[in-house]
Amino acid sequence: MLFNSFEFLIFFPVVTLIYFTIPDRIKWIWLLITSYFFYMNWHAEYALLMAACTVVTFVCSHLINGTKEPKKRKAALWGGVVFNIGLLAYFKYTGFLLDIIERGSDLLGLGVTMPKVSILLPVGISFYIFQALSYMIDVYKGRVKPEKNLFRYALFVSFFPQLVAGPIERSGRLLKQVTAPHKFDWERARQGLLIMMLGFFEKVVIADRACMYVDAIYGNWVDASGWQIALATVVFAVQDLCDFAGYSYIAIGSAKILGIDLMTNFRQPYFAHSVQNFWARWHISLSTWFRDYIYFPLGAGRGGKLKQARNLMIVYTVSGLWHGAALKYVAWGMLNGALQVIEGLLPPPKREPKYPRLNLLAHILWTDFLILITMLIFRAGSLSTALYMLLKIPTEWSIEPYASGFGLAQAVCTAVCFAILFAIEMIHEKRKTLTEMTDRLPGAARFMLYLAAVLAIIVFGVWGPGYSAQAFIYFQF
Amino acid sequence: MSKKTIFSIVLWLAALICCLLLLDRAMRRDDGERKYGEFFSSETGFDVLFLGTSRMMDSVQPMELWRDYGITSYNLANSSEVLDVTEQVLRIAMEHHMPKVAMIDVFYVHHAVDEAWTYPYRHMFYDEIPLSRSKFEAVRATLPKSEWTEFLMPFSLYHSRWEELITGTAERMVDCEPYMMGSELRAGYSSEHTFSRTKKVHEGELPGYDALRRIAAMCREQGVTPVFVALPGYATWEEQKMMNAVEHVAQECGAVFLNLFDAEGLEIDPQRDCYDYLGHMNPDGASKTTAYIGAWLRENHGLADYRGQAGFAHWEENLKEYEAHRARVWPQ
Repeated sequence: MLFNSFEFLIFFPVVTLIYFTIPDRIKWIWLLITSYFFYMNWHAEYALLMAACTVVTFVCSHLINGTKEPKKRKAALWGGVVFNIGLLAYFKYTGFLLDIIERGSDLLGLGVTMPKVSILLPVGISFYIFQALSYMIDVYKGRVKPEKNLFRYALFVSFFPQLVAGPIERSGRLLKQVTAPHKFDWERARQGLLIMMLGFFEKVVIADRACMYVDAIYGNWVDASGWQIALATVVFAVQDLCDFAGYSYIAIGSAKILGIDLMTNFRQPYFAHSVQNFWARWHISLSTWFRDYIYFPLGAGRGGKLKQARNLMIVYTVSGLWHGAALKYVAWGMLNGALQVIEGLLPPPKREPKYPRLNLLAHILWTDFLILITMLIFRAGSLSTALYMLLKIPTEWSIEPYASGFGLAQAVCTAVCFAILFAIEMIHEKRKTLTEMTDRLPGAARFMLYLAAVLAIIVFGVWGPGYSAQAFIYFQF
Repeated sequence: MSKKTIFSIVLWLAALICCLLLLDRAMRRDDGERKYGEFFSSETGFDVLFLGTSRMMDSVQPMELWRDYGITSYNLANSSEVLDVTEQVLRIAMEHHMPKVAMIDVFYVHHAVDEAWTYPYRHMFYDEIPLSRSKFEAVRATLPKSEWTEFLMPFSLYHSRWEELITGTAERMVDCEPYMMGSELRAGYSSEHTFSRTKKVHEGELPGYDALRRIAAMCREQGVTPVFVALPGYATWEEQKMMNAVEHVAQECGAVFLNLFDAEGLEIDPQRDCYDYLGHMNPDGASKTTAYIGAWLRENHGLADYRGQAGFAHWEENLKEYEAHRARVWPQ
């Protein structure tokens, strides 16, 4: 079930209404049932995978906790890790691995032909596996005590608002929250609804509309001019943010209504002053996961700059693979790692800048420029396509533009939405929330603002079957 | 939660619903209102209903039937309408006005209900029916589940029409005005195409036969005479053979079959009387066909002449507007 679907608009109010009316002791059971229902709406049988991941990590955590022998503890930990990573690898990377083997054999002149496999990737598998692994590792490290009740733990893994696209939560924060009963709090609900509204605005109004232009240009990049590719890349950067952050906001808002706080996942990433700073603001729950469970165990910055560079490259290569099973994702991850390594090697400024604000702006623009290059690689069809597209930007800047079908009205609508998004990001950057801002308004103005915002999302959002004027032009009989 | 908060929430939700209803109306295409509005708002009812494809929509002019015979009729035919949809249109139409005769164009007898390219045209009629059990049944019977939402809740489709409305690029789906009682008037000739007649008959079952049988049964149940009509105009041999074959179905289910390709006295020359190669009639062709059908209805069904009767004054007003419109569209 997608957040931007009719089903969710019915599902969520029903779940919430029942959650706050049933007795406290069965509230978590209700959430568990509805979370599995939410997931099974897609491919019911794939809920078994989630259940398997849950049981294995639950058992392994108890095995880890049940013994003091380091070898047994380690064996249980690795058992759980191998099972889960194996599961992820099978569903996400089988095709990629076979392709790599075939390409490698071609390079060596062996000519091995690997079978072409098509495995349906279970929705959210990367998210819930990482969440379950973090729990098991935390138990191993002694950061959390293992949960005694399998079903309570199952709710932690499957909690529906953050199940399919994060934020990837830690058991220390979420486990107690989801299993504790919550009373309805109108103020929380109002804040949650506002956050959800922002999420829907970013997802259905901005991301899904921007997607039309990006798809048109990236799908026909050969015919597109340099400036169109450059513009589409900028639009994609916003689309990617709004798509992901929008989804996170809906997750955070809906959890908040239920009385549960999820972590912030995006913090104005395009206001970052360095690539390192960008990754502290982008998909925070994943970045911190990699930091805590890969980068730190590898030694982080200990042992000199070379080791730190190695560790960064490992983390970002893995991050690239996590994002997708293709060489371009690996390249994208490595480029992000390399940029941070270079940043780390640069000497710090010798004196304070004369114009600190201008200096900051220059850093932000430079960082965004670098991030845009990585975004182009991320969005392009393949690594070679990305390289051709990069080459096309300066060399074919002024050729006849490709007719993208993105009309003036659509462009104006998108530009206005981008401006609104910029204003919202500015508000957030100043550590203020939309609730705080709107609370300053008189009641009637707030009433109208909320109404206008919801109506704007409904009218300008890309949802429903999609109206095609062409389909309605009377040409048949 | 305080009473004030609850009141504010209720008020806000009420305002939202009102705004959505207004938007729903504002964003919809107005083709359906122009085509079917008069039918649903009429107080006098109609003795004859014309149903089927756009060939029927362009071939019969209810206002000319009124002018020449005083027969009250409505043209409910619509673009790309398969017979399964015609069945639903007639069923819902009969809930509003019970006719004496239902004339069904059989040109689409070879098209199945699930031909997806015909789906958008179904909006024109379905969008005009308020959400009800009848509408739900019609949608369920003629559309796959994936399409139900946009037909039962058209706003899910039309909310994204804002671009078309803002830029003023919305195009009409039918050239129809409320005073035309559902028919369409389009000018032009199609002289570059040729036509030849065949009386051969298609062998075997066709996708529309079952719908025709159900239509006939439904009409009999309601005391309405079903008339299956093959309208003249351009048609390939295959299409003609399939229309000719409807005679057997009509006999089987006790309906009348009117094959106007062979009608004596109806001289339709597709090159002069159609505006396109698809067999859509121009005003000349429509006048000839309407006159023929009017005479046939008078002779075979003895329908009442309502001209001059109390309560039918608006028909005369509509006639004036129709004639002025026809003169504009077809000045010769």
